[in-house]
Amino acid sequence: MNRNEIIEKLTPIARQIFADEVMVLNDDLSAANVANWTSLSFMQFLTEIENQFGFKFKMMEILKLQNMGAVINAIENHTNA
Amino acid sequence: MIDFKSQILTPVFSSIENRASNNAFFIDGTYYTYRQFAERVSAIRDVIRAAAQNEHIWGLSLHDDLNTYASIFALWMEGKAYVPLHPSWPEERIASIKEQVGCSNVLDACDAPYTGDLLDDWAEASEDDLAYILFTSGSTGVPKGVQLTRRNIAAFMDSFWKTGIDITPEDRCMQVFDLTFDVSVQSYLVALTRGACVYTVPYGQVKYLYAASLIQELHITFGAMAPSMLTYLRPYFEEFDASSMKACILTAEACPVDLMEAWYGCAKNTEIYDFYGPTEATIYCTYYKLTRGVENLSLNGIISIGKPLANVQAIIIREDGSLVEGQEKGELCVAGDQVTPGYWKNEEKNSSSFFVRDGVRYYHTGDLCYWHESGNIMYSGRIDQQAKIQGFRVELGEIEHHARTFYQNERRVIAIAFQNEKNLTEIALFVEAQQEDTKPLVEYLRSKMPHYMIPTRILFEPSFPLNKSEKVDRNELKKKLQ
Repeated sequence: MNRNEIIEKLTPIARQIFADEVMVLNDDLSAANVANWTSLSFMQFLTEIENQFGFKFKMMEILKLQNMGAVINAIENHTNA
Repeated sequence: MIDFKSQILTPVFSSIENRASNNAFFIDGTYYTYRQFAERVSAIRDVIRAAAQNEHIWGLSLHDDLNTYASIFALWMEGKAYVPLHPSWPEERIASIKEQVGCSNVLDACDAPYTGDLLDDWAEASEDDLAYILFTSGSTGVPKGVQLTRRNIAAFMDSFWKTGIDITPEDRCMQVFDLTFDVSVQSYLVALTRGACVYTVPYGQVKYLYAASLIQELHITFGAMAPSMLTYLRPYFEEFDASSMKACILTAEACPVDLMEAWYGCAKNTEIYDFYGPTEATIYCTYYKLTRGVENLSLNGIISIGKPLANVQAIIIREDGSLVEGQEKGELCVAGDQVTPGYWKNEEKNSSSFFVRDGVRYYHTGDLCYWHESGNIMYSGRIDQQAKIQGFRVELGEIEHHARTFYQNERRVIAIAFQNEKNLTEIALFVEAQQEDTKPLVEYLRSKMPHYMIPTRILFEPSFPLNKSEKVDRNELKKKLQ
Protein backbone atom coordinates (compact mmCIF):
# COMPACT_ATOMS: atom_id res chain seq x y z
CA MET A 1 0.00 0.00 0.00
CA ASN A 2 1.20 3.51 -0.64
CA ARG A 3 1.04 6.30 1.89
CA ASN A 4 -2.15 7.84 0.51
CA GLU A 5 -3.96 4.50 0.53
CA ILE A 6 -2.85 3.92 4.11
CA ILE A 7 -4.05 7.37 5.22
CA GLU A 8 -7.40 6.82 3.51
CA LYS A 9 -7.90 3.51 5.33
CA LEU A 10 -6.45 4.78 8.63
CA THR A 11 -8.47 8.00 8.86
CA PRO A 12 -11.86 6.47 9.82
CA ILE A 13 -10.10 4.27 12.41
CA ALA A 14 -8.31 7.26 13.96
CA ARG A 15 -11.46 9.40 13.89
CA GLN A 16 -13.44 6.71 15.69
CA ILE A 17 -10.78 5.79 18.29
CA PHE A 18 -9.75 9.37 19.08
CA ALA A 19 -13.39 10.55 18.97
CA ASP A 20 -12.76 13.30 16.45
CA GLU A 21 -15.07 13.16 13.43
CA VAL A 22 -13.08 15.70 11.43
CA MET A 23 -9.54 14.56 12.28
CA VAL A 24 -7.17 15.04 9.35
CA LEU A 25 -4.14 12.79 9.62
CA ASN A 26 -0.69 14.30 9.49
CA ASP A 27 2.71 13.08 10.65
CA ASP A 28 2.86 15.38 13.71
CA LEU A 29 -0.30 14.17 15.48
CA SER A 30 0.67 12.68 18.86
CA ALA A 31 -0.28 12.40 22.53
CA ALA A 32 1.04 15.94 22.93
CA ASN A 33 -1.56 17.51 20.62
CA VAL A 34 -4.51 15.09 20.39
CA ALA A 35 -6.76 15.31 23.45
CA ASN A 36 -7.91 11.70 23.30
CA TRP A 37 -4.52 10.16 22.50
CA THR A 38 -4.20 8.30 25.79
CA SER A 39 -2.64 4.98 26.79
CA LEU A 40 -6.04 3.30 26.48
CA SER A 41 -7.05 4.80 23.13
CA PHE A 42 -3.60 4.25 21.64
CA MET A 43 -3.69 0.59 22.58
CA GLN A 44 -7.15 0.34 20.96
CA PHE A 45 -5.77 2.15 17.90
CA LEU A 46 -2.93 -0.38 17.53
CA THR A 47 -5.31 -3.32 17.95
CA GLU A 48 -7.67 -1.93 15.30
CA ILE A 49 -4.77 -1.31 12.92
CA GLU A 50 -3.63 -4.91 13.38
CA ASN A 51 -7.16 -6.17 12.67
CA GLN A 52 -7.82 -3.96 9.65
CA PHE A 53 -4.40 -4.19 8.01
CA GLY A 54 -3.81 -7.83 8.88
CA PHE A 55 -0.42 -7.86 10.64
CA LYS A 56 0.99 -7.80 14.18
CA PHE A 57 3.27 -5.08 15.51
CA LYS A 58 6.52 -6.10 17.19
CA MET A 59 7.45 -4.82 20.65
CA MET A 60 10.43 -2.84 19.33
CA GLU A 61 8.16 -1.20 16.75
CA ILE A 62 5.49 0.01 19.13
CA LEU A 63 8.15 1.60 21.35
CA LYS A 64 8.99 3.93 18.45
CA LEU A 65 5.41 4.88 17.57
CA GLN A 66 5.50 8.36 19.08
CA ASN A 67 3.42 10.11 16.41
CA MET A 68 1.11 9.44 13.49
CA GLY A 69 3.98 9.67 11.01
CA ALA A 70 5.72 6.76 12.73
CA VAL A 71 2.48 4.76 12.76
CA ILE A 72 1.97 5.32 9.01
CA ASN A 73 5.61 4.37 8.31
CA ALA A 74 5.23 1.15 10.31
CA ILE A 75 2.05 0.21 8.40
CA GLU A 76 3.84 0.98 5.13
CA ASN A 77 6.71 -1.33 6.09
CA HIS A 78 4.35 -4.17 7.00
CA THR A 79 2.00 -3.90 4.05
CA ASN A 80 4.86 -3.69 1.56
CA ALA A 81 6.91 -6.46 3.16
CA MET B 1 14.87 9.59 64.94
CA ILE B 2 12.20 9.66 62.23
CA ASP B 3 11.89 13.22 61.02
CA PHE B 4 11.82 15.02 57.69
CA LYS B 5 15.37 16.25 57.99
CA SER B 6 16.90 12.85 58.71
CA GLN B 7 14.69 10.91 56.29
CA ILE B 8 14.59 13.31 53.32
CA LEU B 9 16.75 16.44 53.38
CA THR B 10 19.96 15.06 54.89
CA PRO B 11 20.12 11.98 52.61
CA VAL B 12 19.40 14.04 49.46
CA PHE B 13 22.06 16.62 50.34
CA SER B 14 24.44 13.85 51.22
CA SER B 15 23.89 12.57 47.66
CA ILE B 16 24.67 16.08 46.37
CA GLU B 17 27.85 16.39 48.46
CA ASN B 18 29.21 12.92 47.95
CA ARG B 19 28.09 12.14 44.41
CA ALA B 20 28.09 15.53 42.71
CA SER B 21 29.15 14.15 39.35
CA ASN B 22 26.71 11.22 39.40
CA ASN B 23 23.52 11.49 37.41
CA ALA B 24 20.49 12.55 39.43
CA PHE B 25 17.96 12.72 36.59
CA PHE B 26 17.41 11.51 33.06
CA ILE B 27 14.71 13.76 31.61
CA ASP B 28 13.55 13.64 27.99
CA GLY B 29 16.85 12.29 26.72
CA THR B 30 19.22 14.41 28.85
CA TYR B 31 21.18 13.44 31.96
CA TYR B 32 21.57 15.96 34.82
CA THR B 33 24.10 15.45 37.61
CA TYR B 34 23.56 15.98 41.32
CA ARG B 35 25.74 19.10 40.93
CA GLN B 36 23.39 20.54 38.28
CA PHE B 37 20.42 19.65 40.45
CA ALA B 38 22.01 21.46 43.42
CA GLU B 39 22.58 24.60 41.36
CA ARG B 40 18.94 24.72 40.29
CA VAL B 41 17.80 24.18 43.91
CA SER B 42 20.06 27.06 45.01
CA ALA B 43 18.80 29.42 42.29
CA ILE B 44 15.16 28.68 43.08
CA ARG B 45 15.74 29.21 46.81
CA ASP B 46 16.86 32.74 45.89
CA VAL B 47 13.54 33.30 44.10
CA ILE B 48 11.52 32.00 47.04
CA ARG B 49 13.41 34.18 49.52
CA ALA B 50 12.92 37.26 47.33
CA ALA B 51 9.16 36.80 46.94
CA ALA B 52 7.14 39.79 48.08
CA GLN B 53 4.36 37.72 49.56
CA ASN B 54 6.25 34.83 51.01
CA GLU B 55 3.37 32.49 51.81
CA HIS B 56 3.81 29.01 53.27
CA ILE B 57 2.10 27.20 50.39
CA TRP B 58 3.31 27.77 46.85
CA GLY B 59 1.72 26.67 43.63
CA LEU B 60 3.99 24.49 41.48
CA SER B 61 3.20 24.39 37.80
CA LEU B 62 4.25 20.93 36.69
CA HIS B 63 6.63 20.23 33.85
CA ASP B 64 8.84 17.29 33.19
CA ASP B 65 12.01 19.31 33.75
CA LEU B 66 14.84 19.69 36.24
CA ASN B 67 13.48 23.01 37.52
CA THR B 68 10.20 21.44 38.62
CA TYR B 69 11.97 18.79 40.71
CA ALA B 70 14.45 21.36 42.03
CA SER B 71 11.54 23.62 43.02
CA ILE B 72 10.14 20.93 45.29
CA PHE B 73 13.41 20.66 47.23
CA ALA B 74 13.96 24.44 47.25
CA LEU B 75 10.53 24.89 48.83
CA TRP B 76 11.16 22.13 51.36
CA MET B 77 14.54 23.61 52.32
CA GLU B 78 12.79 26.93 52.87
CA GLY B 79 10.32 25.15 55.14
CA LYS B 80 7.49 25.57 52.65
CA ALA B 81 4.92 23.38 50.94
CA TYR B 82 3.77 23.01 47.35
CA VAL B 83 0.47 22.38 45.68
CA PRO B 84 0.86 20.84 42.20
CA LEU B 85 -0.97 22.56 39.35
CA HIS B 86 -1.00 20.74 36.03
CA PRO B 87 -0.88 22.95 32.92
CA SER B 88 -3.20 20.51 31.11
CA TRP B 89 -5.96 20.90 33.70
CA PRO B 90 -8.91 23.16 32.86
CA GLU B 91 -8.17 26.76 33.93
CA GLU B 92 -11.24 26.69 36.16
CA ARG B 93 -9.84 23.76 38.14
CA ILE B 94 -6.48 25.47 38.64
CA ALA B 95 -8.21 28.70 39.71
CA SER B 96 -10.42 26.78 42.14
CA ILE B 97 -7.40 25.13 43.78
CA LYS B 98 -5.41 28.38 44.02
CA GLU B 99 -8.40 30.13 45.51
CA GLN B 100 -9.03 27.35 48.04
CA VAL B 101 -5.40 27.36 49.19
CA GLY B 102 -5.01 31.11 48.87
CA CYS B 103 -1.62 30.90 47.19
CA SER B 104 -0.50 33.80 45.03
CA ASN B 105 3.05 32.54 44.42
CA VAL B 106 3.50 29.97 41.67
CA LEU B 107 6.80 28.47 40.53
CA ASP B 108 6.47 27.77 36.82
CA ALA B 109 9.53 26.25 35.10
CA CYS B 110 11.60 28.65 37.24
CA ASP B 111 14.85 29.23 35.34
CA ALA B 112 16.27 31.97 37.60
CA PRO B 113 20.05 32.37 37.17
CA TYR B 114 22.39 30.47 39.50
CA THR B 115 24.37 32.96 41.58
CA GLY B 116 26.00 30.66 44.10
CA ASP B 117 25.36 27.68 46.32
CA LEU B 118 22.56 27.89 48.82
CA LEU B 119 22.53 24.36 50.09
CA ASP B 120 22.77 24.69 53.84
CA ASP B 121 20.96 27.08 56.17
CA TRP B 122 17.73 25.06 56.06
CA ALA B 123 14.74 26.93 57.40
CA GLU B 124 13.43 25.84 60.76
CA ALA B 125 10.21 23.92 60.27
CA SER B 126 7.91 21.87 62.45
CA GLU B 127 7.15 18.25 61.64
CA ASP B 128 3.52 19.34 61.56
CA ASP B 129 4.17 21.88 58.79
CA LEU B 130 2.78 20.92 55.41
CA ALA B 131 5.06 19.46 52.73
CA TYR B 132 2.47 19.31 49.94
CA ILE B 133 -1.25 19.34 49.26
CA LEU B 134 -2.64 17.03 46.61
CA PHE B 135 -6.06 17.79 45.19
CA THR B 136 -8.19 14.80 44.29
CA SER B 137 -11.61 14.44 42.77
CA GLY B 138 -14.47 15.63 44.99
CA SER B 139 -18.05 14.39 44.67
CA THR B 140 -19.49 17.92 44.96
CA GLY B 141 -17.62 19.02 41.86
CA VAL B 142 -15.00 20.91 43.87
CA PRO B 143 -11.59 19.18 44.14
CA LYS B 144 -10.60 18.37 47.72
CA GLY B 145 -7.10 18.96 49.06
CA VAL B 146 -5.30 16.26 51.04
CA GLN B 147 -2.70 17.86 53.32
CA LEU B 148 0.54 15.94 53.88
CA THR B 149 2.95 17.09 56.55
CA ARG B 150 6.68 16.67 56.92
CA ARG B 151 5.95 14.08 59.61
CA ASN B 152 3.77 12.11 57.16
CA ILE B 153 6.50 12.00 54.49
CA ALA B 154 9.22 11.08 57.01
CA ALA B 155 7.09 8.26 58.44
CA PHE B 156 6.38 7.00 54.91
CA MET B 157 10.05 6.98 53.99
CA ASP B 158 10.95 5.07 57.15
CA SER B 159 8.16 2.56 56.43
CA PHE B 160 9.33 2.15 52.85
CA TRP B 161 12.88 1.18 53.75
CA LYS B 162 11.59 -1.28 56.33
CA THR B 163 9.96 -3.32 53.54
CA GLY B 164 13.46 -4.49 52.64
CA ILE B 165 13.68 -2.84 49.22
CA ASP B 166 17.22 -1.58 48.88
CA ILE B 167 18.36 1.10 46.45
CA THR B 168 22.02 1.95 45.86
CA PRO B 169 23.71 4.82 43.97
CA GLU B 170 24.14 2.47 41.00
CA ASP B 171 20.40 2.02 40.57
CA ARG B 172 18.36 3.42 37.70
CA CYS B 173 14.92 4.28 39.08
CA MET B 174 11.91 5.00 36.91
CA GLN B 175 9.40 7.80 37.64
CA VAL B 176 6.38 7.28 35.41
CA PHE B 177 3.74 9.09 37.42
CA ASP B 178 2.25 12.50 36.95
CA LEU B 179 3.49 14.80 39.74
CA THR B 180 -0.14 15.42 40.78
CA PHE B 181 -0.21 11.79 41.87
CA ASP B 182 1.57 10.81 45.06
CA VAL B 183 3.38 7.69 43.81
CA SER B 184 5.56 10.21 41.96
CA VAL B 185 6.82 11.37 45.37
CA GLN B 186 7.92 7.83 46.23
CA SER B 187 9.48 7.47 42.79
CA TYR B 188 11.82 10.46 43.07
CA LEU B 189 12.48 10.31 46.83
CA VAL B 190 13.60 6.68 46.84
CA ALA B 191 16.20 7.45 44.17
CA LEU B 192 17.44 10.84 45.37
CA THR B 193 17.78 9.84 49.03
CA ARG B 194 20.10 6.98 47.94
CA GLY B 195 22.12 8.86 45.32
CA ALA B 196 20.56 6.96 42.42
CA CYS B 197 19.29 8.36 39.10
CA VAL B 198 15.61 9.18 38.41
CA TYR B 199 14.43 8.37 34.87
CA THR B 200 11.24 10.28 34.10
CA VAL B 201 8.53 9.81 31.50
CA PRO B 202 7.95 13.13 29.71
CA TYR B 203 4.46 14.61 29.49
CA GLY B 204 2.85 14.21 26.09
CA GLN B 205 4.10 10.64 25.75
CA VAL B 206 2.13 7.41 25.88
CA LYS B 207 3.41 6.36 29.27
CA TYR B 208 3.46 2.61 28.90
CA LEU B 209 5.44 2.79 25.67
CA TYR B 210 8.00 5.25 27.01
CA ALA B 211 8.34 3.29 30.26
CA ALA B 212 8.87 0.05 28.34
CA SER B 213 11.59 1.64 26.23
CA LEU B 214 13.30 2.98 29.38
CA ILE B 215 13.26 -0.50 30.90
CA GLN B 216 14.43 -2.27 27.79
CA GLU B 217 16.95 0.22 26.41
CA LEU B 218 18.29 1.99 29.53
CA HIS B 219 18.08 -1.04 31.80
CA ILE B 220 15.96 0.37 34.61
CA THR B 221 16.57 -1.49 37.87
CA PHE B 222 13.65 -0.26 40.00
CA GLY B 223 10.28 1.33 39.38
CA ALA B 224 6.67 1.60 40.43
CA MET B 225 4.00 1.12 37.80
CA ALA B 226 0.24 0.82 37.59
CA PRO B 227 -0.90 -2.70 36.58
CA SER B 228 -2.78 -1.20 33.60
CA MET B 229 0.57 -0.21 32.07
CA LEU B 230 1.55 -3.88 32.03
CA THR B 231 -1.88 -4.83 30.66
CA TYR B 232 -1.21 -2.57 27.66
CA LEU B 233 2.16 -4.24 27.16
CA ARG B 234 0.97 -7.80 27.70
CA PRO B 235 0.47 -8.63 23.98
CA TYR B 236 4.22 -7.99 23.60
CA PHE B 237 5.48 -9.77 26.74
CA GLU B 238 7.17 -12.51 24.72
CA GLU B 239 9.53 -9.93 23.22
CA PHE B 240 9.87 -7.73 26.33
CA ASP B 241 13.11 -8.04 28.27
CA ALA B 242 12.74 -6.51 31.74
CA SER B 243 15.47 -8.64 33.27
CA SER B 244 17.40 -5.52 34.38
CA MET B 245 14.75 -4.81 37.03
CA LYS B 246 15.69 -6.03 40.48
CA ALA B 247 12.48 -4.77 42.10
CA CYS B 248 9.16 -3.61 40.73
CA ILE B 249 6.20 -2.14 42.59
CA LEU B 250 2.69 -2.51 41.22
CA THR B 251 0.36 0.07 42.71
CA ALA B 252 -2.50 2.52 42.22
CA GLU B 253 -4.92 -0.14 40.99
CA ALA B 254 -6.00 -3.64 41.88
CA CYS B 255 -3.27 -6.05 40.81
CA PRO B 256 -4.46 -9.11 38.78
CA VAL B 257 -2.69 -12.35 39.68
CA ASP B 258 -2.63 -13.70 36.11
CA LEU B 259 -0.98 -10.50 34.87
CA MET B 260 1.74 -10.90 37.51
CA GLU B 261 2.37 -14.52 36.51
CA ALA B 262 2.81 -13.39 32.91
CA TRP B 263 5.01 -10.45 34.01
CA TYR B 264 7.39 -12.86 35.74
CA GLY B 265 8.29 -14.13 32.27
CA CYS B 266 9.72 -10.71 31.29
CA ALA B 267 10.91 -9.59 34.71
CA LYS B 268 13.07 -12.66 35.22
CA ASN B 269 15.28 -11.26 37.99
CA THR B 270 12.68 -9.07 39.67
CA GLU B 271 11.15 -9.06 43.11
CA ILE B 272 7.55 -7.96 42.62
CA TYR B 273 5.56 -6.07 45.24
CA ASP B 274 1.91 -5.02 45.35
CA PHE B 275 1.62 -1.76 47.29
CA TYR B 276 -1.71 -0.28 48.35
CA GLY B 277 -2.59 3.04 49.86
CA PRO B 278 -4.83 6.09 49.69
CA THR B 279 -3.27 9.57 49.34
CA GLU B 280 -4.63 10.28 52.84
CA ALA B 281 -2.15 7.78 54.32
CA THR B 282 0.84 9.08 52.34
CA ILE B 283 1.38 7.05 49.21
CA TYR B 284 1.26 3.47 50.53
CA CYS B 285 0.03 1.88 53.72
CA THR B 286 0.15 -1.88 53.05
CA TYR B 287 2.23 -4.16 50.84
CA TYR B 288 2.47 -7.75 49.67
CA LYS B 289 5.65 -9.28 48.31
CA LEU B 290 4.90 -11.84 45.63
CA THR B 291 6.75 -15.14 45.54
CA ARG B 292 7.78 -16.64 42.23
CA GLY B 293 6.68 -20.19 41.48
CA VAL B 294 4.05 -20.54 44.19
CA GLU B 295 0.40 -19.59 44.43
CA ASN B 296 0.24 -16.02 45.72
CA LEU B 297 -2.58 -14.94 47.97
CA SER B 298 -5.48 -13.57 45.92
CA LEU B 299 -9.21 -12.93 45.96
CA ASN B 300 -11.27 -13.06 42.75
CA GLY B 301 -8.03 -12.96 40.78
CA ILE B 302 -6.71 -9.88 42.61
CA ILE B 303 -3.49 -10.08 44.65
CA SER B 304 -3.76 -9.49 48.40
CA ILE B 305 -2.82 -5.97 49.53
CA GLY B 306 -0.74 -7.60 52.25
CA LYS B 307 0.24 -6.30 55.65
CA PRO B 308 0.46 -2.76 57.06
CA LEU B 309 3.72 -0.84 56.67
CA ALA B 310 5.83 -0.28 59.79
CA ASN B 311 4.27 3.11 60.65
CA VAL B 312 0.67 2.14 59.85
CA GLN B 313 -1.95 0.57 62.07
CA ALA B 314 -4.87 -1.09 60.30
CA ILE B 315 -8.27 -2.26 61.49
CA ILE B 316 -11.33 -3.54 59.64
CA ILE B 317 -14.68 -2.39 60.97
CA ARG B 318 -18.36 -3.03 60.49
CA GLU B 319 -20.85 -0.27 59.64
CA ASP B 320 -21.53 0.25 63.35
CA GLY B 321 -17.82 0.81 64.02
CA SER B 322 -17.16 -2.50 65.79
CA LEU B 323 -14.27 -4.69 64.69
CA VAL B 324 -15.01 -7.53 62.28
CA GLU B 325 -14.40 -11.10 63.38
CA GLY B 326 -12.62 -13.87 61.50
CA GLN B 327 -12.78 -13.38 57.75
CA GLU B 328 -15.82 -11.10 57.87
CA LYS B 329 -15.67 -8.22 55.39
CA GLY B 330 -15.68 -4.62 56.54
CA GLU B 331 -14.13 -1.24 55.87
CA LEU B 332 -10.35 -0.93 56.12
CA CYS B 333 -9.33 1.97 58.38
CA VAL B 334 -5.76 3.11 58.94
CA ALA B 335 -3.93 5.13 61.59
CA GLY B 336 -0.41 6.27 62.40
CA ASP B 337 2.08 8.98 61.49
CA GLN B 338 1.46 8.57 57.77
CA VAL B 339 -2.18 9.64 58.06
CA THR B 340 -2.98 13.17 56.89
CA PRO B 341 -4.07 15.80 59.41
CA GLY B 342 -7.13 16.21 57.16
CA TYR B 343 -8.59 17.85 54.09
CA TRP B 344 -7.81 21.47 53.45
CA LYS B 345 -10.53 23.65 55.01
CA ASN B 346 -13.19 21.00 54.69
CA GLU B 347 -14.69 20.39 58.11
CA GLU B 348 -17.60 18.38 56.79
CA LYS B 349 -15.36 15.90 55.00
CA ASN B 350 -12.92 15.82 57.91
CA SER B 351 -15.60 14.88 60.39
CA SER B 352 -16.94 12.10 58.16
CA SER B 353 -13.58 10.67 57.04
CA PHE B 354 -11.71 10.41 60.35
CA PHE B 355 -12.65 8.98 63.74
CA VAL B 356 -10.99 8.25 67.06
CA ARG B 357 -11.06 4.78 68.56
CA ASP B 358 -9.32 3.97 71.84
CA GLY B 359 -7.43 7.25 71.58
CA VAL B 360 -6.14 6.50 68.05
CA ARG B 361 -7.23 8.59 65.06
CA TYR B 362 -8.19 6.50 62.02
CA TYR B 363 -8.98 7.28 58.39
CA HIS B 364 -11.89 5.57 56.61
CA THR B 365 -10.35 4.23 53.38
CA GLY B 366 -13.73 3.34 51.84
CA ASP B 367 -12.22 -0.01 50.81
CA LEU B 368 -14.01 -3.26 51.55
CA CYS B 369 -11.53 -5.80 52.93
CA TYR B 370 -11.10 -8.77 55.21
CA TRP B 371 -8.27 -10.37 57.18
CA HIS B 372 -6.85 -13.56 55.73
CA GLU B 373 -5.78 -16.10 58.34
CA SER B 374 -2.16 -15.37 57.40
CA GLY B 375 -2.57 -11.78 58.65
CA ASN B 376 -2.70 -10.36 55.13
CA ILE B 377 -5.50 -8.06 54.03
CA MET B 378 -7.69 -9.12 51.12
CA TYR B 379 -9.18 -6.35 48.97
CA SER B 380 -12.76 -6.82 47.85
CA GLY B 381 -13.76 -3.52 46.20
CA ARG B 382 -15.02 -0.05 47.05
CA ILE B 383 -17.76 0.78 49.51
CA ASP B 384 -18.55 4.10 47.82
CA GLN B 385 -18.73 5.37 44.26
CA GLN B 386 -15.04 5.81 43.56
CA ALA B 387 -13.01 4.42 40.71
CA LYS B 388 -9.34 4.28 39.82
CA ILE B 389 -8.62 5.35 36.26
CA GLN B 390 -5.01 4.94 35.14
CA GLY B 391 -4.15 5.14 38.84
CA PHE B 392 -6.03 8.39 39.42
CA ARG B 393 -8.78 8.34 41.99
CA VAL B 394 -12.05 9.50 40.52
CA GLU B 395 -15.29 10.30 42.37
CA LEU B 396 -18.03 9.21 40.00
CA GLY B 397 -20.19 11.80 41.78
CA GLU B 398 -17.99 14.58 40.42
CA ILE B 399 -18.57 13.44 36.84
CA GLU B 400 -22.30 13.21 37.51
CA HIS B 401 -22.28 16.67 39.08
CA HIS B 402 -20.75 18.29 36.00
CA ALA B 403 -22.97 16.33 33.59
CA ARG B 404 -26.09 17.31 35.54
CA THR B 405 -24.97 20.94 35.51
CA PHE B 406 -24.52 20.73 31.73
CA TYR B 407 -28.14 19.56 31.45
CA GLN B 408 -29.21 22.30 33.91
CA ASN B 409 -30.37 19.59 36.32
CA GLU B 410 -33.15 18.60 33.94
CA ARG B 411 -31.83 15.10 33.22
CA ARG B 412 -30.69 12.24 35.40
CA VAL B 413 -27.17 11.00 34.80
CA ILE B 414 -25.29 8.02 36.21
CA ALA B 415 -21.53 7.44 35.92
CA ILE B 416 -20.41 3.83 36.14
CA ALA B 417 -16.92 2.38 36.23
CA PHE B 418 -16.56 -0.89 34.34
CA GLN B 419 -13.86 -3.31 33.22
CA ASN B 420 -13.40 -3.49 29.48
CA GLU B 421 -12.48 -6.67 27.58
CA LYS B 422 -8.79 -6.07 28.40
CA ASN B 423 -9.65 -5.82 32.11
CA LEU B 424 -8.91 -2.08 32.18
CA THR B 425 -11.19 0.33 34.02
CA GLU B 426 -13.22 2.78 31.94
CA ILE B 427 -16.03 5.18 32.83
CA ALA B 428 -19.42 5.14 31.13
CA LEU B 429 -21.95 7.93 31.55
CA PHE B 430 -25.64 7.11 31.18
CA VAL B 431 -27.99 9.98 30.37
CA GLU B 432 -31.75 9.63 30.78
CA ALA B 433 -32.78 11.00 27.39
CA GLN B 434 -33.22 10.12 23.75
CA GLN B 435 -30.03 9.65 21.74
CA GLU B 436 -28.39 12.94 20.76
CA ASP B 437 -25.02 14.40 19.76
CA THR B 438 -22.57 13.97 22.65
CA LYS B 439 -19.97 16.48 21.46
CA PRO B 440 -21.30 19.55 23.39
CA LEU B 441 -21.47 17.47 26.60
CA VAL B 442 -17.94 16.10 26.13
CA GLU B 443 -16.56 19.57 25.41
CA TYR B 444 -18.22 20.90 28.56
CA LEU B 445 -16.84 18.05 30.68
CA ARG B 446 -13.37 18.68 29.25
CA SER B 447 -13.57 22.29 30.39
CA LYS B 448 -14.23 21.11 33.96
CA MET B 449 -12.21 17.95 34.55
CA PRO B 450 -8.83 16.37 33.73
CA HIS B 451 -8.71 14.05 30.72
CA TYR B 452 -8.72 10.85 32.75
CA MET B 453 -12.14 11.73 34.20
CA ILE B 454 -13.87 12.14 30.83
CA PRO B 455 -16.21 9.15 30.21
CA THR B 456 -15.06 6.94 27.35
CA ARG B 457 -18.64 5.85 26.65
CA ILE B 458 -21.82 7.94 26.77
CA LEU B 459 -25.09 6.05 26.50
CA PHE B 460 -28.65 7.33 26.36
CA GLU B 461 -31.58 5.55 27.96
CA PRO B 462 -35.15 6.89 27.56
CA SER B 463 -35.84 5.89 31.19
CA PHE B 464 -33.53 4.47 33.85
CA PRO B 465 -34.33 1.09 35.46
CA LEU B 466 -35.21 1.31 39.16
CA ASN B 467 -34.49 -1.14 41.97
CA LYS B 468 -36.86 -2.16 44.78
CA SER B 469 -35.96 1.00 46.71
CA GLU B 470 -37.06 3.10 43.73
CA LYS B 471 -33.47 4.18 43.18
CA VAL B 472 -31.74 4.02 39.82
CA ASP B 473 -30.53 0.45 39.45
CA ARG B 474 -26.81 0.88 38.70
CA ASN B 475 -26.35 -2.87 38.33
CA GLU B 476 -28.95 -3.03 35.55
CA LEU B 477 -27.30 -0.14 33.77
CA LYS B 478 -23.91 -1.80 34.16
CA LYS B 479 -25.22 -4.94 32.41
CA LYS B 480 -25.77 -2.82 29.29
CA LEU B 481 -22.03 -2.32 29.11
CA GLN B 482 -21.27 -6.03 28.69
